[in-house]
Amino acid sequence: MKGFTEIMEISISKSFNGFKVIENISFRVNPGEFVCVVGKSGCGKTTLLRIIAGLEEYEGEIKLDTERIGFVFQDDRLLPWKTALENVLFPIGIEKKIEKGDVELAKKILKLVGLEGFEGYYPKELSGGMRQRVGLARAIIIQPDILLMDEPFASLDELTRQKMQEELIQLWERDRKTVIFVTHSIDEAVFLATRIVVLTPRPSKVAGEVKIDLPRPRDRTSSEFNLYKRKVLNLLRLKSES
Amino acid sequence: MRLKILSIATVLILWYAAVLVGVLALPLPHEVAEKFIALFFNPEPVLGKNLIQHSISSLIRVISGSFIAFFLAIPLGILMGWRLSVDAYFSTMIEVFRPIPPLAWIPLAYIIFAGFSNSTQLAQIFIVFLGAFFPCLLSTREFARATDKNLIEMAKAFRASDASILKEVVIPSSIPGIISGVRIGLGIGWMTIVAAEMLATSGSGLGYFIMVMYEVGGRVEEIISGMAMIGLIGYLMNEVVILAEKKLLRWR
Ligand SMILES: Nc1ncnc2c1ncn2[C@@H]1O[C@H](COP(=O)(O)OP(=O)(O)OP(=O)(O)O)[C@@H](O)[C@H]1O
Ligand SMILES: [Mg+2]
Repeated sequence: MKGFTEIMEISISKSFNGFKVIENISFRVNPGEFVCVVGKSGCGKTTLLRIIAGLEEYEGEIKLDTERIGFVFQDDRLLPWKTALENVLFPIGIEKKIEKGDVELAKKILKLVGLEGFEGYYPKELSGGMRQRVGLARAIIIQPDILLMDEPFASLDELTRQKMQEELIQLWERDRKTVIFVTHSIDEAVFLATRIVVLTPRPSKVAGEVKIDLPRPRDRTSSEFNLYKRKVLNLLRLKSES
Repeated sequence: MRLKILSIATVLILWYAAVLVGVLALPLPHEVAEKFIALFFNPEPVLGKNLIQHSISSLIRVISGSFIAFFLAIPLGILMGWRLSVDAYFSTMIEVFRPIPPLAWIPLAYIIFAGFSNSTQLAQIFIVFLGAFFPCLLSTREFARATDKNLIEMAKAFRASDASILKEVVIPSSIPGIISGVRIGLGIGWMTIVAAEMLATSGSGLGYFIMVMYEVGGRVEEIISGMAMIGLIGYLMNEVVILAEKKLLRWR
């Protein structure tokens, strides 16, 4: 049962062929939290998510209260031979026969992420932003208890990116899924997170955590918003210079 | 389309020119065409069969041989491309047999199958099999092996089983390779059958027809008609596969 205690507690390190990438990353995640992990490129953020998802060996310990994990990748990783709808149904199809109800659900979720009318499109016929939405829909159709997102908006233009962030928050406010969201954009992290975990450069450790107490919808230009940005930046800077 | 017509016209013009100038001792295209059309429906007296009948004989052999080849080569190619251990096990034996041209097997094949009642037919199917098997295997394996590792990882993140990964990711990735393998395999199978038919008393088949027409006294118009039929069918087979490819790979 979850609800009272944390959904995840992690304390891990990781080397690739003797080359230390993660010194020690430890933090906890409570149910319903939106945790952003920020850190310099190459500090092991993707590796961290892959470890949590069970795709990579590691040293240390992960206490994870669930098997239902949704993953949204930095590159969309859609199957090019499947339509948007079929891609969303992929996680269901590998577990059981797809039924009419599943198709209805997939259509509903596609509508939720703003892709009504594009069910029959192949990935090559969709824009980058639309492909990321399909990737998000695919991750939430399994109703994950925890959603891992690896810089999902990094390749989008600024306006699309902000729009996607707003929509993601609306979704999150609807059903309060636990989210671990990796990014190297401080602005994105402060806009989305309930709490930010800041990593040092490689070999990475947790440089510090920042709880974001801002009402939503958040105003990126407000002075509080920028104070938080400064705080995160200082944590990032502090550790990269030492 | 215009360029296609121009392409054929060029061949015909060169042919006319070469014969009329005297460098080529052959009948003219329209003479051959007349013979071709006549032979298409009316049996040629020596063998008692028309071109359609000969074509069907050859096609049956090619289709049996190459479909058996595809039936084995496609799954094997996928497994070899997917698992290095499977590849390591099979690749040596394959590399030993692959360099032997199918045509070099013809004498041995006739000997191996000599004991069967329809030995000629079986030997020919076997030779087609050899011609079609290797290109299809290699092409399938190459595409299976080139499956995007990121997509496999995506499937694993969603807890896909090996069987699901094979079905949902590796096999669809291999389909372009399978199709071009089938195309090349059919093409080579078609070439080998004609050669195999020339070397034995097959009773029918385009290769056999050409050979007999030569042996009964160099009947050039019949020979060229047979060749034209071989070319035409080879062309059509290729077009059919390309059409299927367009249908199947709409997502590309
Ligand atoms: N499979 C692997 N084998 C060897 N080294 C690896 C492997 N995967 C990652 N690394 C190394 O680990 C380090 C961290 O990689 P990772 O992709 O986790 O960084 P990241 O924080 O996600 O970077 P970015 O922000 O650029 O995406 C890099 O130095 C990378 O070279
Ligand atoms: Mg990364």
